[in-house]
Parts: sequence; C-alpha cells; structure tokens
Amino acid sequence: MNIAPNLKAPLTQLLLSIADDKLLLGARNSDWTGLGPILEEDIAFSHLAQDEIAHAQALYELAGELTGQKADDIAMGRPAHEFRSAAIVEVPDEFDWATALARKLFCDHFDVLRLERMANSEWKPLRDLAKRMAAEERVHVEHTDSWVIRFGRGTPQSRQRMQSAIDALAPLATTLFEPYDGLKLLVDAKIYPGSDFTMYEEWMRQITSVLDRAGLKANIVVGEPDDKGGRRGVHTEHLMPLLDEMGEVYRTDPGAAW
Amino acid sequence: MSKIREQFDRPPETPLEVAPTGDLRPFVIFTQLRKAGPYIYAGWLEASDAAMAMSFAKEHYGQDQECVGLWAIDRAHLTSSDGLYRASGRNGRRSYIVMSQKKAGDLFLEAGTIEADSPAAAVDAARRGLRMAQAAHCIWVVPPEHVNKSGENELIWRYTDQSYRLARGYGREVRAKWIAFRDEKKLAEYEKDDLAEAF
Repeated sequence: MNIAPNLKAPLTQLLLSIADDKLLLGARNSDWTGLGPILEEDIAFSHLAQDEIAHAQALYELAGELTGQKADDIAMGRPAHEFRSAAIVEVPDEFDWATALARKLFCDHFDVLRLERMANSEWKPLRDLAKRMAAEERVHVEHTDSWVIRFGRGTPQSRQRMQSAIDALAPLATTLFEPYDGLKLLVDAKIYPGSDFTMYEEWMRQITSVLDRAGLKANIVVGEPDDKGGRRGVHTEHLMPLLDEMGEVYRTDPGAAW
Repeated sequence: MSKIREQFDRPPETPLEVAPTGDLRPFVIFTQLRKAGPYIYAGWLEASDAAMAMSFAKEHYGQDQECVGLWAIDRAHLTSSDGLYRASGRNGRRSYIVMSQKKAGDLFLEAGTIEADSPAAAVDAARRGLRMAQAAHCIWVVPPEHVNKSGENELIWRYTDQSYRLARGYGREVRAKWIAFRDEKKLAEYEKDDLAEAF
C-alpha cells in the first residue's frame, strides 16, 4: 500500500510521536544503569531501556523511508520543537526509582495499547513492526506491574513512596493522549485504526486494575484539547538539557560511523 | 551517570522504617534451548521469590541465546553429591529431578528422575540408577515442586537485532581504522629510528 501524499506528513508525525516517546524514555531509564536498587533489577531495567531505544531506532528508520532521511539524523539532528514526545517522558525522575517506575506504569500500558492497534494497520511495514514491538512491550508491562504491586503491598514506607511518585506524575499521564492534526486522517485511512476514546478507557481500566492490586490510587485528569503540548511541538524546559546531552557525541561528528 | 544526574542535588536518604530482611536468595537457572531438548545450567541469580526469579531469569538468561524453556530453582532446595548444597528434605518416598555434571567445570544437564526417601538417598539412588549420573563428577537432586517452570510458549525473545549487547568488540570499519592508525604510528616510529641512524 503506497502512502497517499496527504498522509505522509501525519504518518511521519505519528511515527515520530512513538519513536520520540521511546527514545526519551529509554534515555531516562538507561540513566539508572549501575544505580539500580538491586543488581538483578539494575540489569533488567537497563535491558528494558535498551529495548525502548531499539524500538525507537526501528521507528526512526521507518520514518526515514518516508522523509528520505537517515535514522540517526532524525533522532539526533532535530531541534526541540520538532520532537513529538509527550511531557511525561521528558521530565526528570529526580533520581527516585519509584518515580521511574510510576512513569513506566503509565507509558508501558499506553505503548502496548497503541502498538496493538498499529498491529492492525493497513500499512504493512507499520503492521509488521508493531506486532513485534507489542509482544516485547507486554514483557515490559509485566515487569513494571510486578514492581508497582510489590511496593504497594510492601512496607508502609514503600507504599507511601510509590503513592507519592504516582501522585507526582498523574497530572502528566494523559499528555500521552494529546490529539493533533492529521491523526483523524490516519484513523480514517486505517493506518492507525482505533486510536479513539476507547483506548483511553482501556488504559484507565488497566492502570486501575494494577493500582487496585497494589493498594494504590491515581488521580488522572484529562487535559483540554486546546492545551498544546508535546505532540504539537510545545515542550517542557526539561527537554533541551536532555537532548543536549543525548546528542553530544553525534554533534561532534554527525557523519561518523562506529 | 549522565551530567544531568551528576548535577542533581540529591536530597539526603530517608532512613528505612523497616530494616531490610535480607530475603534475596539464590536461584539456579536452567534453560532448554530447543523443544524436547535437555535443560542445561545457565547460571544463578538472587531474588526474593519464584516470581521475581523467573522474571529476572527471562531477562538475564535469554538475551544472548533464545530458549524455549526456563527453570528457576531455589537453591535452598537443592542437594548436591559433593556436600556443597544440603536441602532439609521431608522424609517419605517422593520423586526427585536429577541434574549431573559429567566432568569438573562442565555445565549441569538434566539427567532424569529418581524416587527416594530423602535427598541424600536420592543422590545415592541416582548414582546407582541413572546412566548420566553414574560416572558424573557431581550430581544435584531437587523435588519437582521446587522447580519453577516457564509456561508453554510463554517465552518471547527480542525480534530486533540484539547483537549490539554482546561484548564482541567493534565492527570491521572501526577495525580497519585502528589498523591504519596503528600502522601509521609504527611507520612514524620506524622513520624516527631511521633518522636517528642517519644522523
């Protein structure tokens, strides 16, 4: 299936929104390598962060086929306002592992849902890639859920810290769902089938179910559709420093081969 | 650590209200590389319970080589013929899974099952009754209920290329650059000596 000219831009934006979410989440979470709470979990957490970056790379390569650019240049060569990541993946975790977990809780569940929908895309390259990524993302969800539940059911202190982390990030959770121009065209063309309100409802059900099992709560608020955020290029002040450090090596020699 | 982390002013650690219980304990991990193949020792890890052990096992022992089955065994329930591990088994006739190590340093392999009245008796019975265990350097026995197994088709492995995780060194291009650089250095040194001789 060839992509109609009027769909190329929205489809690129869609691919970037997923890829940027994953790249930044992967970057934030790989910042725990060597600093995790226990050795085994440190290694597992690093693996999962590497997964996210590998997924991002595959998506950038797919976007690159549409725009004629190389994946590295798309990932590292764009200014901040061209990123399509949601605010929740940009904010730092303040060196608090419960915060990193709470972020993963909201993001991993969202990821599985959007990837599962894309696994039914009319566009084969996206369909094939999304099927594989959705299967891997389900492993992430299992991992994240188990830790959130462990902390929720652990000591009063672990429960309180996990709850605080959830409370701090809950206001940003729905930035993942921000609508943007062109999304409806992709839904109508069945390139991104079913990205509608039911996905939000399903996500809420999944999050609530995990939190219930953990004895925790989340106060989720849906943003106003007119509030421009990450999906439309309006980012928090945390994005620039993150991109600066991430792109440092790339910028010293953009064409370098390793 | 990223510069962002280094520059972050970390608040002082709040003291723990409940002292850590030190409940991380060793689990040995076996993997089955192909359907109906033997389970082979892959390593061990620390976890607080079977669920955590299985979760870690999937992450740590499947990344380099795909497997179709995983076992995670709480080492407290293992008994070894060399006396290193001694489980306090319940008395009464039951079956034991046996793993054997052919020569010192070899990987333990699944060797069969045996029935016995105690872990020590199971070691003896395995030595007598199981072909692989007879001449083995060392054997382990464990009751099957303490072997946590992955489910049918439960294991999925990364479909994206994971070879970058392996410590295999750099690719051909970089190797060529290194050789060119090193040869240049050698030539420069040789020229220096050459000049020293001539003058």
